[in-house]
Amino acid sequence: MSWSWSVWPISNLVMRSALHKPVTRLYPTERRTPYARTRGHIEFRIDNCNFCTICAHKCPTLAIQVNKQDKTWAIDHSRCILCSICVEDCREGCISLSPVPSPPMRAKEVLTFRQEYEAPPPRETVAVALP
Amino acid sequence: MNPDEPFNALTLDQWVPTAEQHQRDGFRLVQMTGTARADHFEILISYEQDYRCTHYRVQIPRDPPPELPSLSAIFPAAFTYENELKDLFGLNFPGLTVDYGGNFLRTKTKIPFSGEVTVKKETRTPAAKSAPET
Amino acid sequence: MSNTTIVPFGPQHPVLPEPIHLDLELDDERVVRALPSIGYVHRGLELLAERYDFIEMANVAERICGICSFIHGQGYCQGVEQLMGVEAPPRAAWLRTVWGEISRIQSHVLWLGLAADALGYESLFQHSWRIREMMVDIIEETTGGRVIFGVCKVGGIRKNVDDETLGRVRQRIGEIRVAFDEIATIFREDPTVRQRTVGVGLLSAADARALGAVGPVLRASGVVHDTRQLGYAAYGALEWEPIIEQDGDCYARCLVRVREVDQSFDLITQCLDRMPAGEIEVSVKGKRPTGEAMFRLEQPRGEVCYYISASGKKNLDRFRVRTPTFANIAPLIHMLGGCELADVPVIVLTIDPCVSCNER
Repeated sequence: MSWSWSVWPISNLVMRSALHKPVTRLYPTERRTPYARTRGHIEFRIDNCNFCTICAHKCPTLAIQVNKQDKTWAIDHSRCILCSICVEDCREGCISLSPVPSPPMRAKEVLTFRQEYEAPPPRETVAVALP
Repeated sequence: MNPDEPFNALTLDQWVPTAEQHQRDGFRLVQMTGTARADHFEILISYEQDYRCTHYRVQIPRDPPPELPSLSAIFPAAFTYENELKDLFGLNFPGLTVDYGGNFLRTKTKIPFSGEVTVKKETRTPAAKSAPET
Repeated sequence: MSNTTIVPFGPQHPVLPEPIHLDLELDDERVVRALPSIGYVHRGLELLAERYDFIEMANVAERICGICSFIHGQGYCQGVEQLMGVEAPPRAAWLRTVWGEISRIQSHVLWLGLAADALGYESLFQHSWRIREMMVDIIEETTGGRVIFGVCKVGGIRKNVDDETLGRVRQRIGEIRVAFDEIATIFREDPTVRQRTVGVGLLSAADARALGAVGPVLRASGVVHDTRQLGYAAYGALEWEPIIEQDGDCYARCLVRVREVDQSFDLITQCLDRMPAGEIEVSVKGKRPTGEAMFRLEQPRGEVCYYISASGKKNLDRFRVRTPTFANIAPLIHMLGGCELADVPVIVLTIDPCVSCNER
């Protein structure tokens, strides 16, 4: 059984894609602009947060943990399912959904924010006489 | 929306005659579901014709070892459901045409749904608590 | 039975994306009997329903499967809504239909690619997935997710889609349709596809019905049965007919899916033409589901049944999903009896096994 090349229905498609530039992107150098709705990752700004803990209660996977006393807000991105319930329920508008996917995680980590962070006092400089 | 369909209760001795009746009337077996209750197992079976379902429910006491006559001779489709019920709930099906002998569902725990049905209140530990603060 | 050999097929096999195990009893090259075993990835999702809040459970229901994710969420939400006595507003129902059909297209095109891969037709596999990628882009633009839609909730949908976006979707559907027509021609006419599938894995109409086959497997044997005819969501108002093929072999099952993709394009266009305006959700605050009911929906793979029983508590009493793949195991075992060993992957693939659906 011999088939001429043009009989194969896929030949047109294969020829065209051979002469065309690739449909895939050269990923690390060329990146797609995400859609406005893309669920990338949860972003948090601590400025207005009053630690009402609504987001922590509403979170179905318990990815968010808020501590009123310590004034900390923590999110475990590996637990977050990006349902964006916290975004809808935050009264202060501190939580937002960014369309940019979060970078790959090298280790499991919990991102913690703390308000009124006091930097440790600067170390006293000891005057050392130059020889 | 799906139409409201009746759930009828059956006694154990009506189980096979009902199936034969539905087979004669040209019904199709849709599904069999097992539910473990405190003192009995509940088996729910659905037959369908012209997009209308009829559901039947039968209760099997936990002891003596639960047993249900097999429908696989009447509805060939029943054998996968019966093997599943056998592997999950430990029911016995006398007359099962294709019996995989408990090797159909290879779960790590054998007969996982036959024990206590009290749902354990799992304490959901938040992830952030255990991790050290950064 | 002295000359039979037992060849294990799976749980890890190049054509299987997910673990299902078959012990094939062979007489020379011919399969005498196949013994299936499943349960390798059982996740206990049904039991989770008894622990979680029924509103949160919608998130879990959608994660039963990665390919037919939206329809699982839709089925769960419709079930709970009916038990609570609320009905989703028309726009929500129509948008659910659009998303359901989009997910049917991406699932069928994904399957067509996998089938081409099982036939050893790599270039066709790549081209099918290229088209699927365009579909996934539409999903991402309208819902924000690529695999998990996350838009269905009890009482309606979570996000509205504005008319401008819907116009873009319509235009892109037209483009994808042109691209898909080329692939469809290949599946219909290519001698490679035909030689591997015509006459392989025969299932007669009587057998298909008796063994409880569902979905494209049943329709490829010439039985008219499509659960969408129940008219849930917007299907009652749309014009369409179930697609059937008469031959009952692997080629017919392939054609049913190719034609269903075309039909889904039609259904989406119809929905977009007649999309009603208005609210997208109703409040379900303070309402609790009571009673029990069985819901049936049509997934890409066939009829799926949800049994939901609730007694007015925060969590459900029992949630059970009978997935299409489970119903299709019995016909699969029947088809495998008497086939050649080399045809086993093709036959297994034509029931479109979604094992993780199967292992809730």
